[in-house]
Amino acid sequence: MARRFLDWFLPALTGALVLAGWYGLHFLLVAEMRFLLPTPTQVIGALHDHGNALARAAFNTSQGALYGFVLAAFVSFLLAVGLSLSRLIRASLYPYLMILQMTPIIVIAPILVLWVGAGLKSVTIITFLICFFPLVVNTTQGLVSTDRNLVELFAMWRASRWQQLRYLRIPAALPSFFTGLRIAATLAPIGAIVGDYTAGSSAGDGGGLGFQAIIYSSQARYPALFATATISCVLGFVFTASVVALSWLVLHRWHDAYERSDK
Amino acid sequence: MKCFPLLLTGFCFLFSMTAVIAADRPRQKITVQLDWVAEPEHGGFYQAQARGYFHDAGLEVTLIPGGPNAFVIPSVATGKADIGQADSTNALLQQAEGLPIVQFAAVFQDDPSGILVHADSSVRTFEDLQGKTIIARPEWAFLKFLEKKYALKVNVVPQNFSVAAFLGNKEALQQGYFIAEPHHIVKAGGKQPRFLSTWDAGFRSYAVLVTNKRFAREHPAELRAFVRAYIRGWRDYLEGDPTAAHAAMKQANPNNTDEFMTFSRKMLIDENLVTGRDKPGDSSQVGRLDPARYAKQIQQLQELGILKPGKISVEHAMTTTFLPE
Amino acid sequence: MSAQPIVEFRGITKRFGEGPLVLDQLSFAASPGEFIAIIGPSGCGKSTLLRLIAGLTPSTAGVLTVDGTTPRQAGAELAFVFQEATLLPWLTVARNVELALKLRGVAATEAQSTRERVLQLVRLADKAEAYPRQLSGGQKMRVSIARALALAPKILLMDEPFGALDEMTREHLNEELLAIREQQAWTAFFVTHSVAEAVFLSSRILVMSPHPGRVHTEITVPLTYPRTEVTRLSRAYQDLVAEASRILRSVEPLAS
Repeated sequence: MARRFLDWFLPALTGALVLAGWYGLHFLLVAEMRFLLPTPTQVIGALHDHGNALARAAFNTSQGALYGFVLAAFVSFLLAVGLSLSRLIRASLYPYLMILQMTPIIVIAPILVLWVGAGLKSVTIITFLICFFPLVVNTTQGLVSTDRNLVELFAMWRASRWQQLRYLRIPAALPSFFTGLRIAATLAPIGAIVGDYTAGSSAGDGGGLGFQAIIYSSQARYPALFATATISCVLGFVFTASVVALSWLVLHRWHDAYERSDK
Repeated sequence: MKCFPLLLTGFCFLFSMTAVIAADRPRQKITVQLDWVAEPEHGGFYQAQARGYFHDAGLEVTLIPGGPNAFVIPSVATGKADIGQADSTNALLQQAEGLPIVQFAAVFQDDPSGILVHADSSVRTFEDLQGKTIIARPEWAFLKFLEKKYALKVNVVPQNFSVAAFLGNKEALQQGYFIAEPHHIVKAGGKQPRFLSTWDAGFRSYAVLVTNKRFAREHPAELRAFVRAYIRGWRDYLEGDPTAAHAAMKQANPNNTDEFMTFSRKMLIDENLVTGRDKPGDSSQVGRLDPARYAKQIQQLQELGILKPGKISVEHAMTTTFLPE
Repeated sequence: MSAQPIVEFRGITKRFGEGPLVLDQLSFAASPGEFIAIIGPSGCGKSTLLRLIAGLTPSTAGVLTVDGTTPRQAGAELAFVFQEATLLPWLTVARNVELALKLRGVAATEAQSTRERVLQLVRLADKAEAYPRQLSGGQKMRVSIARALALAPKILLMDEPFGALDEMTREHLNEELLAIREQQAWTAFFVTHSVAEAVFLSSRILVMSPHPGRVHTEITVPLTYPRTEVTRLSRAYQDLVAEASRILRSVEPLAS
């Protein structure tokens, strides 16, 4: 009983303290310098004033994040299956995947804009690039490290390579795939915002949160900038929570990670 | 005269004391944040420094070059730099958000920003911009101004400050600085581009010097001395021999070519950017700010809806106190 | 040997790569319906022997005939129960049992009735819709056995299937296994560390010696089937256990 109470009370208390500290810091600053740290009230005010622009921007960013994420999920899965089929393929492709992973997005973005043009396409590709590596690595690992005993079982049944892949390796790799998915879900909104920052476009009301951030920061509209950060945070949370929920849906019936004590 | 040797000694003593005092008095250190890499747009500073005008005025000036991410105004507002170079429109908008800065001297009487257009492009006038995509800084107020004045809608793609995208597409439009990009484009093999300038559309901004309010309160004499030396530097750069300044710019930014710097300086002179297009050739205008123009600009911005009424007034935005009489 | 042997080893030698000899010139034959227990100290190649019959690994030399053909080709007649239950965790018990049938192309309805029948045999019909993580160790092993039986194999290979279970569960499962055997007609090869288990279950015990692996002694177990918990109390049973233990001890390498 007391435990349940603490479960919500403590975070609420911490939150209240943080808010109080925030206000305190703001008023500690010399009046001239208070623009450095807008109060929560100002931020909420900005959320209200710029509500429409931010909502549209959030929608655009979500689009880019979602498309890039889903594309990454599909391509990574197929690529992982390909990689899992042969050690030779893995040896030949892995180094190049790593190179792609290491190249900073900030450098790739202008090149993309040159080839593809700014806007949703570029943002999707940038999000894709950010998401796909952890997905490929995790899924490949899952496909390759199937329980030896199960592999022997299928060998006993004289199952074909394809049967082994479809009925054994792929289902066994789902937890790894979802781990990759969860990681990618935290990266996708960031990817979309960074992509938008460097390769976004306002064409057809297309600017996202990154685009808005440029505008607000250049105009020194700091309450609005903080508001943009808040929305970005919420977006990231929603994205991740959705994928966690999806994980649960697919895995909870049988995976150890979701075990309660129902023996 | 028996006391002559005494008088002489006394005189020498006083003289040397003055010299000692003058030499010992510490020079006021001033940091200046530039808005871009060192280029002829900063001719006033570099000439004044190379010629020792700042030194003569009792100032020790450090010029900090900027770049694509130079946040001049926040830098000056937080005191990281004492003086910065910015454009007056953007400065007004940030002042309206409460940043504690004040605009106190002009760099250019007209800000040389505008839209670069290919020689063969179908865009000829501002009206032709309808529906087009412009590579620019998304917050550029001039675009909103054009949209309202000519009843247009344009799309913006964030500026990455390279001409690569512009060169790749004959119909491309890009925000540029009149005295710089055209040269880079021709150098890269393109035709001399056309330029739709802000002043032609009736949107007049200054390129301006800003300082933070505290510095203005605490060092008014130094600011006046600075402005005098700066104006002197500009006049000398434009009318005299710019070699010393160009050498300094080259050192600060090795990418500067003599060809570019000559081009840029020539554009400055031809377009009367420093001396003013209203009174060409009249060098008394160097550095001057006109409150009437500020009033007009504030009104324009309010009409565009990007400046809330009551947020900033001319008196709070700019001052002429530090300009020479 | 009155009938044609169902499994015949002729001079089988096995080594892994450049490694030491695991099995050396092994020869024996098993008749259909026999229950053969294989015991011996570590390193004697018991598991390898089973895996050779299963076709999971090839012999290095010699001839091994399973159901008249090579082990690889006899796949359809073999079923293996591993040391760990190795159920697919993402499938229910029912789907686990039906999986091999599905891979063989058996129709869904037939697979279902087979599944119901074998789950009845191991007395787990009520757990058909449970997931493996909800079962105890013993229950999982029973499902594993059911899964093997669903294939209606001619030869059942079992590698220490009850090794991880406690004594009571193990004895119960031994009795269940023999009860099922009454209703079916497979030949069994059963590797175990427990002499008591070997005697209780089998009709013949192969005692192997290590380094390299060879059949050291064959013990015939003349106890009649069906065997129950009562059998464990009989004199004959206990004598056989004592005898087998003695032989096993004599085969153990000297303690280092």
